[in-house]
Amino acid sequence: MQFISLSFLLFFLVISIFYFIIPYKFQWAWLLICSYFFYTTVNPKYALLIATSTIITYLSGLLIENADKINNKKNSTKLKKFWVLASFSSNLGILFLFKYYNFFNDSLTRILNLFSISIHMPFSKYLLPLGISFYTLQALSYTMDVYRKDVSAEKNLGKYALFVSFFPQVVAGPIEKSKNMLHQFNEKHFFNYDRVKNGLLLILWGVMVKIVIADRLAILVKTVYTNPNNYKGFATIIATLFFTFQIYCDFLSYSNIARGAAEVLGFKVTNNFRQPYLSKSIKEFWSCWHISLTSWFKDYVYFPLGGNRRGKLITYCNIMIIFLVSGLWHGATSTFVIWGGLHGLYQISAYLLKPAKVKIIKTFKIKTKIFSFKLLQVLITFLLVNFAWIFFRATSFLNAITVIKNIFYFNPWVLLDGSIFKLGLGSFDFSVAIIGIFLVLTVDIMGRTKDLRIQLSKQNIIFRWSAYIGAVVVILILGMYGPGYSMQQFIYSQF
Amino acid sequence: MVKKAFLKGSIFVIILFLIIVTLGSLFIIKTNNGAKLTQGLYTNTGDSFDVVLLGSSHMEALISPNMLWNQYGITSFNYATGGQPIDVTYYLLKEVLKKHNKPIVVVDLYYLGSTNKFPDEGYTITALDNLKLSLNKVQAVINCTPLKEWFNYIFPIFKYHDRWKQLTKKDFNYDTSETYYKKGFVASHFLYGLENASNSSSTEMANLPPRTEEYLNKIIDLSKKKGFKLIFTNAPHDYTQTTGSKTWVSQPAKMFNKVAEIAKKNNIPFINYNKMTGQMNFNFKTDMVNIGHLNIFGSEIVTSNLGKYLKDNYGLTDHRNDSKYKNWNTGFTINSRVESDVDITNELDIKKYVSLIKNNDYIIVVSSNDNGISENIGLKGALSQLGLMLQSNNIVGSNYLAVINGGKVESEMLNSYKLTKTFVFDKDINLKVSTSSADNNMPSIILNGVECLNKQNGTNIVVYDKIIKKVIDNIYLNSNNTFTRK
Repeated sequence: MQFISLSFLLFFLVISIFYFIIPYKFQWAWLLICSYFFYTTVNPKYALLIATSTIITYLSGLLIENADKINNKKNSTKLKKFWVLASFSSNLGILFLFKYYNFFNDSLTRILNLFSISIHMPFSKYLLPLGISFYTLQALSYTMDVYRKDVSAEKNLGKYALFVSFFPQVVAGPIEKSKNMLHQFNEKHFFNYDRVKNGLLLILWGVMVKIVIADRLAILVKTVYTNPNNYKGFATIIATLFFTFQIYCDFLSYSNIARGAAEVLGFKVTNNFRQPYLSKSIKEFWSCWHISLTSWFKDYVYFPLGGNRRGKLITYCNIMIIFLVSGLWHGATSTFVIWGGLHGLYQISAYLLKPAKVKIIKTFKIKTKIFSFKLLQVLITFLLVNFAWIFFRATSFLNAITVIKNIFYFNPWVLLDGSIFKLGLGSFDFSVAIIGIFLVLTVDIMGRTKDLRIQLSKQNIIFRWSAYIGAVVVILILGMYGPGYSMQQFIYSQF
Repeated sequence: MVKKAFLKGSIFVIILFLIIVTLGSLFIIKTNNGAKLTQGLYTNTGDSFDVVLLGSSHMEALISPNMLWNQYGITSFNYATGGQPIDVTYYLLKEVLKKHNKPIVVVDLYYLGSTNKFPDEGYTITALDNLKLSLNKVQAVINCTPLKEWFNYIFPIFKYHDRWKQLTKKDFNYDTSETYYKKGFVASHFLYGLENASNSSSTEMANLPPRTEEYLNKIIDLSKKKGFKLIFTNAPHDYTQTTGSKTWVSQPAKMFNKVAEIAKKNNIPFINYNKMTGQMNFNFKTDMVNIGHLNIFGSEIVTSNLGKYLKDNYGLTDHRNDSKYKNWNTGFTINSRVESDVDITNELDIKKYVSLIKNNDYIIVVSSNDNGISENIGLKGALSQLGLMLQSNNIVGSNYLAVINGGKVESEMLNSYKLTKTFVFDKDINLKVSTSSADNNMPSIILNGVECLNKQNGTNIVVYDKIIKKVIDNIYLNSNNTFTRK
């Protein structure tokens, strides 16, 4: 069942109505049934995997808590660490088997081939289970949180299973830590008009951003990136710029729909994005982009590795490890690893160049508090992020190199002679795509200082309802759906 | 709080529903089928037709309501649409009966032979897209289309939303009444030229496909329940058309014998015209346009036959002299005029073409920027029939302009420089003719503010019919006098 479909709309309507009708003590059970139903509509077999991860981490919580009761501190810690290790290795083992085995197999074969050693390991034919990268991290957060005593072990397996499989998040996050989310399944959620309305507004905005903007941008991006050799100069530049916004709109859309759906039911889910393309540095970008993942890696990998407390070299190593792992988490290909590595390099370079930057600013008395300087910072950050996305989107390393080469070709006439409209988007659709990008940026700029949903709620009913109905009409007319279109999967649902 | 939410939510959903329905009618493709179903179902309900004709394209070209009117004073409307499956016909009939009280219903049964549960979408949409949203339409959609398409049929905006970049003035301001004079009838003037290769004389019987038999029975039951008179027909067609088809019965001739039996059992007349071709002097070569459909000449024969049958058996009142029905006479006149204009639009020989347009009811406009026009002997010879000289005091030029109104040459000019001239005829016909338009230096003929040409280099001719107040043809010729139509 796709998030953006009539079947999901109906499914969500039924869930919500029953959720508020049934007694509180059954609400979690109802959500658990619905979450597993939602998951099994994609592939029933893989529900067994999510159940396995759930049981392993559930048991790990109980075992860690029991181990904590052992009087001998040394033995207790040893046993607790053992259960953490067991939980991590079994869950990551499943993830490795389904997501990384073929990548590992291929890489190993290539490396051994360099030394004239030939091996033949069978390739896995399993499809990547939906949301495995997300729910695995979410489940592991529980093991760690219990270990760190941030949460008590959950005794109710059903409620814990709901935490791992909660339908708004299970496919592509946001990845919630157990300390933020688990307790919410014990809270009473009543129907609240304003909360439900705000949740629905977030869903509406998410749907609009996905099927009007992201899926429209995707057409031109796909044209160029499928055959990068055929396109040069501004065609490649525009495709790359479009992908930068496609992936943002696509993931923003999913996160907003997930947050909105959770909000309707009374749950608070992490906001995954905070105007990332308005960031003035790569470090800031990562505090605004896929916030739940960044936070997970920071909490459960970066800090355990020592963070920035063990000297500069270790800090730089840790940064690089985090980004390489993050790249690998996104996908089992070298291009994702390079994408992660690039972001690691950006951050390390920023640290290394900081003294030089300060000196230049001081020497030339550059004003840093003014708009033009901040704009320059935003543009430079945007370009760096944009460049890294090339590796993220390219279907292979060689294709990424081709794209980069082809960018450096000066052909501005394609913008004037109509060639740009032959990349899958005619002039009308191209215009809608550009307007869509500006709309998202405008909302981001306005959203920096104000909560737009609150601002909207302060307006007169005619304005508010015109905005709601206008948004639905825009989706209905300009949405990329129906005959002639195959609904684009959310990009992050493939990770 | 729940009450407030329910109230607000309901109002919101109702507004949204109305917008979705309105957008649907804006976005659906405006076709002749759409226009005629709107005419017959929703905008001319006051006419209360004596006879309604339903079926597929075979019926569309079988019976001409204008001829029924002219010969017998019977009012009728042809609701047939191309490829209309019998189940769709059933629901369309129910829609007709909402506004027309017990008409005689004539249904052509060609599509009984279909073994497809759901035929090509292209055939179903021509009928269903043009029904207003109602319980009947919802039932039609549920029973005649696959589940995954239901939503698209009920709310067409979901199917056609991508037309937003193709919308034209026509979509916003579609005049469905413009072609009402046809009363839903469509037939070609072309001749098939081949004999019927099938044999209709068999007396054996073969079963109908279960689904079409079910809907045939539903139509029969509906006639009994609602109390209207029903007549079944089988239009002349060559049964070999569907030979070997996986989606059609293998022995249609035998199937129609079974239909005759069912009809007889239910006391319903079944006129199998395929078995009456000899009796009607129906010539397959000249009375068909192709293997399955009648041309205008064939429909004259069958319409005449059906009219007589209706007159003899149903005692229908002749309305021809009833002043309340004078619009039917006007419609007939316009229709006759349009049918006679059709020969003009089919002609490709300049000499014959000019002889056809030589008519006092036409305004003929010629505008050319062809360098060799004064040397074009063929064109000169043809246009001379209209009284045009194609010369001007020994001036040789490429700019030529001529206007003939009611057989009289109003203006003829030939020159080496650009010519532009305006005319006003009969107070309301404003004409601006130019041999070289301001925008792209090509001949231009603007009638009442609307450009008639596709702006092509060469000799352009526009023919305006003053009776029906329409441009009936516009062509342009190259130096070899080869025709191209807009």
